[in-house]
Amino acid sequence: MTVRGEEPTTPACLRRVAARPVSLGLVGLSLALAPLMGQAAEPAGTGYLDRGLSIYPAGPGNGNERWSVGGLWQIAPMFTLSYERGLGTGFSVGAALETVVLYNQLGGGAQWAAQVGPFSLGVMAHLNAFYGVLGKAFIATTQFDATGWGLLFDPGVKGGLQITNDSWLTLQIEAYLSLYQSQKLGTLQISPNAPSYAGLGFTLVVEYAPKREGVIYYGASLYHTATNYPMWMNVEATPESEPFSSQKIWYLGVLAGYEF
Amino acid sequence: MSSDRRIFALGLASLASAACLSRQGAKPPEFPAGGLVALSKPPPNPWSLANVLEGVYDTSSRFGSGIVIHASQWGDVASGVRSSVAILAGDHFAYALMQPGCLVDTTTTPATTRLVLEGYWRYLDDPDPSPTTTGLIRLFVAPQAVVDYVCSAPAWPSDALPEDPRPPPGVQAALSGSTGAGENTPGDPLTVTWVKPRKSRNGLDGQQSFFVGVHHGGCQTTDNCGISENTPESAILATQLGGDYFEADTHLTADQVPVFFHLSLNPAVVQGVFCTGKVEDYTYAQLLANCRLRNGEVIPRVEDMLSYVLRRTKLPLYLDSKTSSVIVPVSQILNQLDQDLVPCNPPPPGSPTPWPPAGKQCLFPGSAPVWQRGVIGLPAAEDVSAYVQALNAGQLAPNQHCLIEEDASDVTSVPCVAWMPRYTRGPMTSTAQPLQQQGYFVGFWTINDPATIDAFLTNASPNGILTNYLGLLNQRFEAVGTPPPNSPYRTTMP
Repeated sequence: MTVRGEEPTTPACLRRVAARPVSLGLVGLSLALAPLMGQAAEPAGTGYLDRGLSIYPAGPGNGNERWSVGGLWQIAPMFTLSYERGLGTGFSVGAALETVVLYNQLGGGAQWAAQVGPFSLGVMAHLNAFYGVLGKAFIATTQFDATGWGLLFDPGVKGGLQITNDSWLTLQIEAYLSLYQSQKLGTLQISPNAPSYAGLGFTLVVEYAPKREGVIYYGASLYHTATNYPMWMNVEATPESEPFSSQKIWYLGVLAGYEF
Repeated sequence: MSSDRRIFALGLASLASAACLSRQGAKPPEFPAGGLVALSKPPPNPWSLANVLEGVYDTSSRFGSGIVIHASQWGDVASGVRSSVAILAGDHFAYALMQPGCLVDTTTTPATTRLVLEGYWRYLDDPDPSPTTTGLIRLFVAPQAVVDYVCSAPAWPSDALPEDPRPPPGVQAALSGSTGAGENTPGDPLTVTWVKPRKSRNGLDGQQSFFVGVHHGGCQTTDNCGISENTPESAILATQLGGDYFEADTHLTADQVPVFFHLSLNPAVVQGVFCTGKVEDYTYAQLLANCRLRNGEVIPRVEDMLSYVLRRTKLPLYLDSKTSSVIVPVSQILNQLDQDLVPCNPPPPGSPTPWPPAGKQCLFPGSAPVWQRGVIGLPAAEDVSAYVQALNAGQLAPNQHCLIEEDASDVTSVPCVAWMPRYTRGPMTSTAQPLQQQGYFVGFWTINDPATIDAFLTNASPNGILTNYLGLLNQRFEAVGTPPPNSPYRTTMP
C-alpha cells in the first residue's frame, strides 16, 4: 500500500527556502540620528576583533570588510554569500545572496549600532529582490509551471554580547514586509496590489574566532510568517502540502558559515 | 510510593488522558438560552427564504460592500429539512451564519410576526477567534410583506418538490440589527441593503456550469470554526456557506475500513496521546479508541459520512484517494448507497406506499442520484492505473465516475468526467477548453488568495475552484466571475 505524501514529486527543498541569514546587508536607522548618539562609535569592549564581525551588531568597524559564506537550513539547505563593510560611527553596509537555484535572493542594506554597557545594540533594515522558478521541466508530475519574483523590506533590531574572549552572541529580530510580489502561473501573471506584513524572524547566533582572524558562526532561527512568505511556492511545493492560507506558521531554521 | 502504586498511578493517568478527548478547538459564540430563535418557529417552508433573500447587498459595517446573502437548506427528510442564512464577504474572508425564526412579537398591538436571523460572524483572515474576529449577530428582516411571505408560507410536505412555488412579493428585503464582539450582546448597528440579484451560474444550455468547491470542509480544522474538516458536520457547514461540491480525502485503515482524513495524525488536527503516525497504521477500532478530531468528532468511516451527507445535503462529493487501495472499497460503498438511498421529492412515478420502502432512505430533496454524486479522485498516475485495472476487472460500481488531477489525456482515455489540476500549473486554457466543450468538468485546486481567485475567474473560465474560503469565492464570483459557456454535462451521464 502506498500513501500519498511520503514521496513528494517536487523536492522538499522547495518548501521553504527563504529566510534571512543574520546580519547580511543591513540598513541603519537614520543617518541623521548618528551625530546625536554620543555612544555611536567604533566597537568597544575588550577583545573585539580588529576586523570586527559580520553578525555582531558592532559590525566590521570603520574601513574594514568581511566576506562570509555559509548555509541556511530550514527544510533544505541554501547557500549564502554576504559582504559587510564598516563605515565608522557605528554604521555598516552590506549585501547578500541566497540561493538554491530554484529560489534566489539578492539584497543590500545597512545597520547602525552602539555600545550600551556590555551590550552592542543595533538597528537595521535591508531590501531584497527575489526570483524563483518551480516545475518548468516536469509540469504535470510536479504540478507546477510557476515563476515568482518580488521585493522584500526587512527592518529589525539586534543585540550582542561578548561571552568569552573569542566568542560573541547575537540575537536578531527582523520583520518581513512584502513590498511587491508577482507570480506567473503558466501564462497567467498575478500581482497582488498591496504591500503586506509577512511576519517575524528571531535568530540567535554565536560567532567564534579562535585565532582572531577567520570567524566560524552558527545559530538557530525561529520564524513566524505567512504561509506564502516570501512566495506561495514555499508552502505549496509538494503535492500534499497545504495551500496558501491566511494563517501565519511557526518553523525553525539553523545556519552556519565562515567569515573571512 | 511502591512500584505497584506507580504503575497504578500511571495507568490512571493514561485513562484520564484518554477520557479527556473532548473538544479542543474554539466553539463559535452562541446566544444565551438560544436567543430569540429559541422562542420562534422555523419558517414553514425551508425554501421560502431563498426566494426573498438571495442576492448581493451592501452592509453598513463589519462586512463591506458587495456581499452575498445565501439561503441554504439542509437536513434529512425523515427528521426535517431546515434552512440557514449566510453572509458571505470578501473583506477579512468574513462570513456570518444565522438561523431563521418566525417570532410573534406580543409587545405590539395587535401582535406582529417578525423574522429574526441569529447566529455568529467570523473573520477567517485570522485563524484564532477572538472578540475582534468573531461575535454574535442578530438581524431582523423587513418589510412586512417579506416576513409574511416566509412566516405564513404553507408547510412544506415532505414528499413535495424542494421549492416554494409561490411567487415572491414584489419588494426587496432589507435587514437591520447589530453585531457584537465575542459572546457580548450585539450592540454595533448593522444594516444590509439590497443591491442586485445574484449572477446566473448557468452555461449556454441553461445548466449550472460554475461550482464553488469545498476543500474538505466548510472550514479547515486549523481555522478554528468549531467543526473539524472531513466530517459530516463540515459538509453541512459547507452547504450553509455556499459550497456546490465537496472534496474529501479517503484513506484505508489497517483493517481495510475506508475513512475520511486528510494527511497524517498530528496535533493540529487530532487529539489523543497515542494518536500519532498514519491512519493506515491503525485498525478502525484503534482509531476510535485513540483518536478524536480537534473538535471532538471521531474520524468518520466513508460509509457513515457518505450516507449522512447524501441524505442531508445536495452536495456532490469528490472523493480524493489518498492511497490507490482505497479506490475499490469506496466504489463498492457508493454502489451499496446507490441502492439504499432513493429519491423521495417526489417519489418516482408508480412507487409503492409507503415510500421509501423498508430498508431504504431518502436522498436529500432535489439531489442527484448517488452514482452521479460520488466521484472518485485519482491524484496520481498510479491511482489512474489502479482505477483502470479495477474497472477492467469489474470491481467498480456501475457508472462509477472519476476525476483526474494530473494528465488531462487520462480524462478521455479512462474515461473520467472531470479534470482538476493544481492551479500552480496556470489556466492551461488550450487544454481545458476542448475538454469543457466536450462536457467534461474542469476545475482547479486549491485557491485561497483573493488575487489568484480573481485571476482565475477572469482568465481561466473554470467550471469549479476548490477553496478553503467559501464565502470569499462566492463573493468574488459575484464581483468578477462569468460562468463558462459549457456545462459539465458528462457528470450527469452514466
